[in-house]
Parts: sequence; structure tokens; C-alpha cells
Amino acid sequence: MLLNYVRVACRVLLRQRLYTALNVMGLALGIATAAMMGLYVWHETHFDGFHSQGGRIFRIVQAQYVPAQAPIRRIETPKPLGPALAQDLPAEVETMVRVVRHAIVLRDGGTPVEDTIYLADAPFFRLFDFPFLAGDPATALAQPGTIVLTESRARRYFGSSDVLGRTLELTSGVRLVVTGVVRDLPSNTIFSREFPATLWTNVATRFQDGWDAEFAAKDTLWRDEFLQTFVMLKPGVDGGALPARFPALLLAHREGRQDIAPGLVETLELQPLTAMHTDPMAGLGIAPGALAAFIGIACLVLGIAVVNFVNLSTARASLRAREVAIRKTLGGRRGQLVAQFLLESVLLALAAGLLGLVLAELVMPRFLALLAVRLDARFLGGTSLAAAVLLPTLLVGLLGGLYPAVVLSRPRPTDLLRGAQAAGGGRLRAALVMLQFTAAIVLVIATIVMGQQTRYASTQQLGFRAEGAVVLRGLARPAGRAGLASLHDALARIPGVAAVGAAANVPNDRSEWTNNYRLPEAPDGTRDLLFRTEPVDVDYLQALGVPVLAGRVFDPARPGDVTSHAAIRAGTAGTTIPVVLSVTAAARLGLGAPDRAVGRTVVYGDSLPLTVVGVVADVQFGTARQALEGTVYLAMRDELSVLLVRLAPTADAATLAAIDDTWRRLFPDLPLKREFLDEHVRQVYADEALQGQLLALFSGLAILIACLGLFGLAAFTAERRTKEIGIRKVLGATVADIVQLLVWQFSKPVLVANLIAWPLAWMLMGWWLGGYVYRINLNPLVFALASLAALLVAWVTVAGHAARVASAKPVTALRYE
Amino acid sequence: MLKLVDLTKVYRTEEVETTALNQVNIHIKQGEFVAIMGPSGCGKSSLLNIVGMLDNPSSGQYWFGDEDVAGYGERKLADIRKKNIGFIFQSFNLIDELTVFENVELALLYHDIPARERKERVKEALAKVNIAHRESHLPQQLSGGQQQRVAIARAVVSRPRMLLADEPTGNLDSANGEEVMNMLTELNGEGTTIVMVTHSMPHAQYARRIINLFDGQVVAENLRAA
Ligand SMILES: Nc1ncnc2c1ncn2[C@@H]1O[C@H](COP(=O)(O)OP(=O)(O)O)[C@@H](O)[C@H]1O
Ligand SMILES: [Mg+2]
Repeated sequence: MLLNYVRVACRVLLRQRLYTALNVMGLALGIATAAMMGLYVWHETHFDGFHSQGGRIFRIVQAQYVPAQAPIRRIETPKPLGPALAQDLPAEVETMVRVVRHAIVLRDGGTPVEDTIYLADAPFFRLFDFPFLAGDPATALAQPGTIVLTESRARRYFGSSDVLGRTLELTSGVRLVVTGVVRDLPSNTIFSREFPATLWTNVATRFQDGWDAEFAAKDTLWRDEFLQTFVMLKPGVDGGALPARFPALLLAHREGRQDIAPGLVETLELQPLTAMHTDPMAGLGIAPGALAAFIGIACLVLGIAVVNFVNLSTARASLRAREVAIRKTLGGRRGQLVAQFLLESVLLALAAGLLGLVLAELVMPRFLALLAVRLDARFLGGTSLAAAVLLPTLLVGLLGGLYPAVVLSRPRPTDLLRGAQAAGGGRLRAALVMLQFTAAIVLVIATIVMGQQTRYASTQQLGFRAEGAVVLRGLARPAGRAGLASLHDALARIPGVAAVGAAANVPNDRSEWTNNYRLPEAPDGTRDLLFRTEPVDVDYLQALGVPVLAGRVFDPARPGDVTSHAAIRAGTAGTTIPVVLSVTAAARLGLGAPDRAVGRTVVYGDSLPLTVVGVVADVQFGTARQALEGTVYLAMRDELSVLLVRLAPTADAATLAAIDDTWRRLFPDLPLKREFLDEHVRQVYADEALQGQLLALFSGLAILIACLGLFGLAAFTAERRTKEIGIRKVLGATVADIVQLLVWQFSKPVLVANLIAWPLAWMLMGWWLGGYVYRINLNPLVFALASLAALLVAWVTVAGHAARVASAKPVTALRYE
Repeated sequence: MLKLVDLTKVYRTEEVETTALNQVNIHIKQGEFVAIMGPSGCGKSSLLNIVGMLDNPSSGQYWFGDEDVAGYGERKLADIRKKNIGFIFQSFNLIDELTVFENVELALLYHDIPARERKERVKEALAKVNIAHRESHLPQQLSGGQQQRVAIARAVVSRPRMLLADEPTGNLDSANGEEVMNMLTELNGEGTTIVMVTHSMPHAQYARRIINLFDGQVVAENLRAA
């Protein structure tokens, strides 16, 4: 019996080739999309779940709660925090591990290269289960001067993974002894994604590159927040009860911090390991919103495909009313008919699932490359994909078969033979087509608006000239600091170089040095203003090309312009330190118009007076999502670690080569890191650009699938209405009349879809744009455009069928009656 | 009114070539009532389809008025057809989704007639075939005889000069068949040219002239005394 069903089902599916092909293709596309998204989302939500002690391990998060303000939470913690926790909570905390990154330089085949090493407290590999190929996880990081490598780093630096006991020499002369080799980390850990780690050493290891003294000095500095602290609680300790004790613990260790702002509460929170990747702190990991969007879009595309499937199935089934009736008169029972339809539908869905699987296998690597995400092969293997595909496929198959099965098997055969059922499904199909196009139009509008905003944001007023400038980094080491001045001079002499300036950061470096400023005449109790503070050299502002609005910028001819940390710490003895303010800083201090600000005094911190010598335009340091901050520029020699080279219009490839040569000549041991400023700035928008690309991809897919369905429905309608069209032609309808009739039938749901899509997209995009301080206005023209596009695509899809049917001789249509 | 000269229709399918009409010569005058008879498959419907401009002949001439329309394309034929010819089919060919009223109105929709006038003419036509009381019913809710009356109303509502009927009584019982024949006679009396295919000798007797086809050829023409 079953075999007979399968045979009939296959025959039916093969006979209706166009319908089968459309159905399978549309659904396969939908399934492939959903499977890829599903797999990706599953991966992203299962980070760091594999550590055997994971349930007891937490990352410490510092939180500041100020009344009526959004809390500030960050994962950077001060160096003494970990030991303090272990000491103050001996009954609760079993171990703590601090982790911090450091850039080291070593030689790889002669050229100096930079690599990142993770300094960690000794128990790191007891907390995190990364399997060792050689060495003992319990003791590998016990001593300073040790190093643990991943297998591929061992291969890279030693040509072998059997390297236990060998030494790795840094250009600073420091030698690290290999005490462990771990297998390359899996893709679903933050130590692969947010903090990609390939080298580890003990936290007390010395590097002799300017790091050691500074790092050692931070042992007691509670103010400097820069490393991550993990704790492993003792078994049975309730992590939920601890946070109540943290505010007091913090206060005990760092007195005097509570009066920073009235009502401020500083505390610590325990972040479970598995939450690290999806907690939207500090812009790391994947935001839950992004995940939700991924899931939403996947559901949308799959939904459109499923609607197609159901639509085409029901449409086709209604053509088989006569067959059903005859089967019934011959004694077929309802259950058998239902089974027959379900089987056909499930077979079709399985075929689509299979094709979808193949598609997903083929496309997944490119999809991940687009996301710049690595997934372990085991996540990409056939079985997990198949598992992701199978269930939805079966569901869709049953759903697609259910409606025709139930509806068609119900009526009495005489009704079916008289063709009474014809009208019913039509309205449902129109409604579903409408839903599909609503989704598609919303996606198209979102794509266009996001594209516009991204373009607008990246081309808006930056406050400096991003083109024609080169950034050189990696000078924050003793050798770099020592040679900075000679490099500066040597570069300035290269023909094609217009200017050279040094700074601590260039725009978009996520620099975070902020300080309190106020006017000396401000009454007691006024809140200080927090401004970004940028250390620069005397040439930097000119090299960057920031417009000067009043006064002057720093001048190489005035040695008095330059200050230093030491001078700032010592306070002033009669002299004041010159500063340049951004126009926003001047305005927020209440200094009025730029030229009125020049010559005024501003107080830095508690009591250090600064003299305003000039006011410059605002520089966009981050994305258009952030409001412009007030910025204070100080000319100082400390902190400088980036050189900005402004190229003359005559600069060419030889100029760049000369810059590189100069670096290599002066710094044979420092890796050369050169990039173009405009490219660096554009990276802020890389995420947005990627989102835009993805959205365009998916809206294209959505429309494609919707059109596949529409195409099938149009074919079906054309066939079903053949007789009617014949009659209309006999009665004098022209080809144009008929085409218009059919096209209108399919335009209606698309037009209604627009009415629903517009407000929906308007709200959605309004909300999205709300995240930007600098944003475009929603343009109704975009909406009209998207609608027109949808309508046009629908027309093109349908018009072919319509024209074919309409231009057939009427006699052919009537002959079969 | 129309003249067929050496008219031939050949159907070509992949395997076979069927000569449905072979060198047919027929002349029909304005106001005539002609019946076409012959065994099944002899080419009656093919002839009617060509006369009705639903199909083109393979060769020969078809003079409609003073035009040879044999080689005309679909668009031109549709234009002439719309202005001059009405159809009645054996299987009624009403549109299932439209009401009786809408089915009849359809024949006027393609004629640029204002809505008000359309409504009047549809009502008039429905009244003429005694079906006005069913104007908002769907075709499936009517008997065969009633459906055919609707089809006749639809055929005449656009006031064609010529009415073509392919076995209009074929699906009807004798009482309903009689009624349809009476209506056709009445229409002919008002000046409409009628060409009707039928299997029924009694119904053929309503016509003034009977043309007998056999195997695609005209074998006999009988003029009945008026
Ligand atoms: N569209 C067609 N294609 C092929 N053969 C056809 C077609 N229409 C009619 N015929 C053939 O032409 C011959 C005449 O058909 P038809 O005019 O329908 O005869 P009648 O109406 O007298 O029964 C038949 O042999 C029929 O099979
Ligand atoms: Mg016939």
C-alpha cells in the first residue's frame, strides 16, 4: 500500500514538473538560509560551555550605578582586585586568574613580527579546559619566563609541535621556555573570538621592552583598569549571594573614590562563563539584538518559502478535485486520501531539504567568511547540518500537505465533480502572497535605509582630512619612544611627505583618556565636565588637517607649548600650560564663541590651570552613533606612540616605499605597521557595512523566493482560468484586456502588502536610526521606490504567463470543455 | 454576408494530420437561418470556429462582408468578432465564479458601453430569455436549460449581426431544447443571421436551409420551403 502511494506520488510530482521544480527550489533556498542561520546562532549561543568547572567560574564585571543614568559596566579591572578578592573572601573564592594582553616582537624568518601573548596567573589552564598535547596544565604557567603555545604557533615558530623545553627568543633578548603545547582552541570560546589567544605566559614574566616597570607599578593601582579577572568559587558557594558584599569590599580598598559623583555606587558583578559572548558589554561578542535580528530574518525567509510551499501545494491540489472525486466514487476512504496528499507533500519537502542541505554545505563557508567568523569543522559537518534541516523540513512537508488533504477529502464527490470547491483557497492564497510581499518590502526598505545611513555616517563631517594620510604604529616601546624624534625628522625630509605629527591615538583608535575640567570661577559644588584628553605633539593638529576656528594650534617654534606628565603632576610654578580646545569643549565650559575662549584659563583636575591658546573644529573620534565629545589637546612628549604622515599631492608609491625604508633603517627590530588613515576610519563602519550586505542578500533572497511562488501561482491561475479566458476572448476581450486582468489579480496582494509594509518599516527603521546621533531622515521616496520595485518584479514574474495564455487562440481554450 | 471559397482546415499534431475541412464552399446571406448537420467528427465545429473567427483556416478564402479575413491575425479578428458575432455553446461555457448578471454583462464590458446602459441592456436580455429572477445566482445553482438561456442572453446582449450555435440543445431535454429553438427563431425573425450545428433533425427543421457535411466536405444543401 505504502509503496503504491509512493509510486503514485512520484509520478504526480514528475508529471507536474514546473510546479515540483518551483516548489523544491523555493523551499530549498529557505531551508538552506534557515539552516545556516540556525547553525550560526547555535554556535554563537554556546560559547565556553565545555569547561568542566565552568559552573563555578565567573568573570568579574565592574559596575557603576549613578542615579538616573544608565549603569556603566566594564570587564576591565585593576590589577590588585584579583588578589584582594582571594584574600577577603577565603571561604568563597577558590582561585582567581587575571588575564592581560601584551604585544611582543620576535623574529619570524628574519623579519620582526608582532604577536600577542596573554599574561595569566598560574591556574589559568586549571580553570579553562584547553587540552594539552604536551606539558602539564597544572604547572605550565607556574613560573615567570615560561610560555605555552598552540599547536599551530609551535609549528610556525619552531616548525614542529614537539617543542617542550625549547626556548623562544624575543627581539628584546628575553628567552621564554616552552612548558606546554595546547591543541588549537575551538571556535566557540572567547579566547578564539574576542581575545584570540595563541601564546600564554605567567603574569610575572619580564619582557624588557618598557612593560615590566609600568606593569609592576600597577600592583597597587586601583585606578588603572585594564585586565580581566576570573574567579573560581569553591564548590557549593552560592554566587548569587556575593555581590551584596562587593561595594563594601571595594570601599575598603580604594578610599576616596565614593565622592566622584553624588549617589554613585561602585560594585562588582559575577558574569557566568557562558554569558560572556552574548553580554553586549563594551561592544565585544555578539549583541543579543544582532542574534535576534539573525533569527528574525531567517524565520522571515523560511516563512516566505513555507508559504510558497503551502500555496503551490493547495493550488495544485485544487486542480485534482476530479481525481479525488473519482477515487472516492471508487471507494477510496478519507484517511487514504489524506495520507496520499501528506505523503506527496512530505516527499517534496524532503527533496527540498536535501537540496537545501547541499546548498547550505556549499554556501556556509562563504557566509561565514562574510561574517568574518570561524566555525570548527565539527559544527559544519553533515550531521549537525542534517539535524538542523530535517525537523523543519518534515514540519513544512506536513503543513503543506495538511490543507489540501483536509479540504479536498471532505466534500462529497458530487460537489467535487461539479467544481464547487474552486473558489475557497483563492482568498487564502492571496492573503499569503500578501504576507510574503509585506516581509519582502520591509526587508528592501530596511536595506535601502541602512545603506543610506551608512553612507551618510561615513561621509559626514569628520573634522579632519582622512584622505592622503598614513599612520605608523608600534612606537610605544622603549626603542620606539627613543627613536621617535629621529623618525619624525627623517620622514619629514622624504619628498612627497607634507607634514608629520605624533599623537597617542588617531581618530577611531577607541582612546579612552578622559579628565575632569572646569572654569576657575565656577562656584563650589558644580559638577566637573568630563572631556576626552588627547596627548599630541606640536605638529600633529596641522598634520591631521583640523580647521582652526580661533587663536592658534601648537607651534614648533614655541618650546613653552610642550608639557609632560611630570609637569602636570608637579603642578605649576607660575607658568601655565597651553591647551587647544575643541569647539564643543569650549561651548560646554561656557566660554562662548571660539574667539572669546582664546586666552581664558581652564582648570584641569583639582587645581592645574591651563591657558586656552586656540579652538579647533570637532573631530569625530568614533562612529556617528556617538555624540561628539569635548576634546582637550595637550602637547606632550609622553604617551606618543603613533605617527601621522600627511602626504603631498605629489606622493606616489615611491613615497610609501621611502617611508617603509626609513622605518626599517631606524628600527630594524620593530615590526612595521603602516595603514592609510581613511581606511582606518572606514573600519568603524565595517559592522554596519556588513549588516547592510547581509540584509541586501536576505532581502534579495526573500524576493527571489516570493517570486518563485508567484511564478508558480501565476502558472496555476493561467491554467485554471484557461476556460474563462477563452470565453472572455470569444466575447471580445483583447490580449491586452486579458493580460491586464491577470496582472491585476496578482498586483492586488502586492499593493495591499505595501500598505502594511510601510508603517511597519517606518517604525522599524525609525527605531534603528534612533541609535545614531547623526542620522538621515526617513525619505518617503525610498518607500515608494521599494514598493514600485516589488510591483515591477511581480509584474515581470506574472506577465509571461498572462501573455502566453492571453495570446492563445480562444478555440484551444474551449475545445476541452 | 459571408462566403467561404475552397476553405480547408488541416490540424497537424506530432503524429497525424487531420483534414477537418476539405475545399468547402458556402455562401450565407444576411438574415438567413442555417443548420449544419453531419456525423460526429465530420468537421462541423471546425467550420463554426472558423466562421466565428475563433480559428484561422489553413487555406482558402473567407469573405466576411467585402473583406477576406482568412489570413487576419488575432487582434483584427477579435475586433470584427466583437462587433458582429455572438456564440452559444453546447456546454454553455458560463464562468463559474461570476453571477448570471455578471456573465451576461461580460459581453458588454469589452464594448466601451457606460455602466448605466450596460445594466439596462443586461436586464433586457435576461428578461427576454425569462431568467431575470435568477440574475444574482451562480451558474452551478441553475439547471441546464436555465444555463443555456443565460448563455443566449449573453450572446445577444451585444446585438450581434450573426449568432453561431454549436449544438445548443445537445445537453438539454426536449422541452428545454424546444424553448431554445423558439428563442433562436424569434431572434432570426428580428433580423439576426443564425448558423447552428445540430444533431437533431427536428431542431434542424427550424432552419431555412440545411447544410450536410461528411468527412470535411459539403455533401448536400437543402433549402426548405418557407
Ligand atoms: N485542435 C485540433 N487538433 C487536432 N485535430 C482536431 C482538432 N480539432 C478537431 N480535430 C479533428 O478534426 C476533425 C473534425 O473535428 P470537429 O470539427 O470537432 O468535428 P465535429 O464537430 O463535427 O464533431 C476530427 O477528426 C477531430 O478529431
Ligand atoms: Mg463538434
